[in-house]
Amino acid sequence: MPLPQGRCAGKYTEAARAAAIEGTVVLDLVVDETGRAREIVLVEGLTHGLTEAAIAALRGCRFTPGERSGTPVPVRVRGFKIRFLLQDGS
Amino acid sequence: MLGDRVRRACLVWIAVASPTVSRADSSLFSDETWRYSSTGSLAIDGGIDIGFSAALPTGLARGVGAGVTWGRVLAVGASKQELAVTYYVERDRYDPYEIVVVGDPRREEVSRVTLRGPEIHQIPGTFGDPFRVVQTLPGVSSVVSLLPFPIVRGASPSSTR
Repeated sequence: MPLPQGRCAGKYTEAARAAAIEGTVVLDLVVDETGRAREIVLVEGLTHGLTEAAIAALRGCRFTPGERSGTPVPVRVRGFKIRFLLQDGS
Repeated sequence: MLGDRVRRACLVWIAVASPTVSRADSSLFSDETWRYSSTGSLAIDGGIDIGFSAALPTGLARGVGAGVTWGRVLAVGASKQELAVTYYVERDRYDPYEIVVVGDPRREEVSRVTLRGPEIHQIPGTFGDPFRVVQTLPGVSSVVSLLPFPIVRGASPSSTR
């Protein structure tokens, strides 16, 4: 199975911070032979640019590609979650 | 005074009470399983260190965090002879197909006015005096008329920076 390498950095949008939007974006994708995310399909989105931010974060991720008989192959990943949280100000 | 009270409460608590996991870190989610430890230490009220062991039930608990390798005391409150201990627990496994993006909530700034050099000199009636310019801004007053001591209207001079 493909696994993310290192940290996948995501970024909150200004609009979402201002509106205090939190939640989870769910995406389906294919990790290709080179370990990049392709064919990203939105399953559940958020407003205020967070869906786009989630897709951008996922495009920046690098994965170890899935293998079959030692050969890298594209693998579909369903239900990849990008969770957006605002830090508690207290 | 408070230190003595807390110290006494702690000693009584160590003798008779059991810490409980009251809640998990808010960034952790309750639909997963966590483990917590049964040992720890406290540092309260100016460096009084009180170690304790035991009492925290071991095993699994759903919703408050079972499954973790340690618990950390973040808050201690003394009331009579009881202590409330809050443990924050760390999850022992992660979903590899999940990214958590943490943002800082925006702090609302009431207003900000920035004036630059040429603009200051062109404001009529001020003769290019920056203090007079500041005193023409809304919400700005002066301690003494005609003297360059601007303050936020309604606030004391010491509250104006």
